[in-house]
Amino acid sequence: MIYLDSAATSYIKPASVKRAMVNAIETMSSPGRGSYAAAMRAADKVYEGRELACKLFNFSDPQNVVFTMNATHALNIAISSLVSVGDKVVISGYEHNSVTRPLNQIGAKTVVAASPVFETESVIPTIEKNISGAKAVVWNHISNVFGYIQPIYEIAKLCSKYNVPLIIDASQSAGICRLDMSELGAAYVAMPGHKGLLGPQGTGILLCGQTPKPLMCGGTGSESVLQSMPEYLPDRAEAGTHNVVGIAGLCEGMKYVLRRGADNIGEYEASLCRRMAMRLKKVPKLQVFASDADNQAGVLSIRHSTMDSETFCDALGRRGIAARCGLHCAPLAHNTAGTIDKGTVRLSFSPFITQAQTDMACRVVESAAKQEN
Amino acid sequence: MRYLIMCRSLTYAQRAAKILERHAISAGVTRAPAGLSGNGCSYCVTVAYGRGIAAADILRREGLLQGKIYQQNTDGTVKEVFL
Repeated sequence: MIYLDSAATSYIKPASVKRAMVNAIETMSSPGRGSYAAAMRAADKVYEGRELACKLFNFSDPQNVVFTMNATHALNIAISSLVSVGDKVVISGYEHNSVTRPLNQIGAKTVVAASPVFETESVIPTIEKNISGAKAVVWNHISNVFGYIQPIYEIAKLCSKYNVPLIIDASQSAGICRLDMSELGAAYVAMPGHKGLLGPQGTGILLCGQTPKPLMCGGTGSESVLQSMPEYLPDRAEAGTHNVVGIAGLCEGMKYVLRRGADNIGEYEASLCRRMAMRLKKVPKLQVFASDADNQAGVLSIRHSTMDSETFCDALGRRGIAARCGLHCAPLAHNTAGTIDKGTVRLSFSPFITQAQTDMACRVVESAAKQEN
Repeated sequence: MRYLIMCRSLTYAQRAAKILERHAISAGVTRAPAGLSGNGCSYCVTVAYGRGIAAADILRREGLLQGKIYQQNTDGTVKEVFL
């Protein structure tokens, strides 16, 4: 199998991730529950994770690094902290359901500041036209469907100018490009642990520039007499037992990213994506969503003119290519790009995919496109 | 004899201990003894008797000195101190 579904989950991980998780199962209990050795080992591991996240995202406050179940959980905390029923919220045209569904659930007045895919220059004017009166801006750094890299630093500056809090969905960017929390000054940055950070499923991080409202309430191992959640982070946002085993694996994923460099990983994945796009553009009946500018990460959407994306993706799967088809939980992105009717087949890269595997995958896509006609 | 520097959470205690270690002050993290934890379940940083003032100064500078400081004697008894 050639795994090209890393935008969903990094299936291939550094070997140290598994080793760390096994070690955690064998030697760690739960942080904040005691001073005995197994509890303190767990506490040290969780704290190490907070420090690694600070190092990776140039963030100064380990206590403001909140561990979550995934990016969706992190986004729900952030959104529910800033948005109430009827509030105006500006979002991009590429948001995932993990943003749009919480906003819908809350009853926010969502304004989609949509601009065409890969058209970076139209992003800021579109937001500026809509930002007045907004309670928050929620913006996707990299589209999970098209790999479109949005100008997040300029967006952050704009939000700062208008004094509107910014929530960044870094689901596709964490671990593959520079995310500098100090420079961004965002209210919240949400990310999964299991994609670009190369950790296990069931992990996520919320970097908090503000103190959020608790999404869940429960035990924290602190101020136990009180029946309200502690006012301070991370306890305020981390009710219940931590996923210590997952965090141990995530620590190793983050160490790998730090060693190799997020920008280097991102550039490598983008180069594979460009290589594939260049080749697939020549295949008859294939539509390839590739950027001519330097604003596409290692995520490539394609579609066939006569075959629906499920059929096409199944054909690839039978030939050993693991890809994802359909709407990718982001119908808004497909609406914006005009692909809502059939969705797309998404091929996404990881630091462990080689050029040879990319070329092999191209041959398989070419073959599937022809044979299924 | 040692000092117990009370912290409002485990994470704050861990951060305080790391900062002290960076300043070559050996520091541990442990649960606060019964009776010192205020609202229940809290943690403290432990430092050796001779390093209390230096530790308090560093944590004060870093904005991490949030709780009381106790001197814990070898028999386990504690008394609040002001460093």
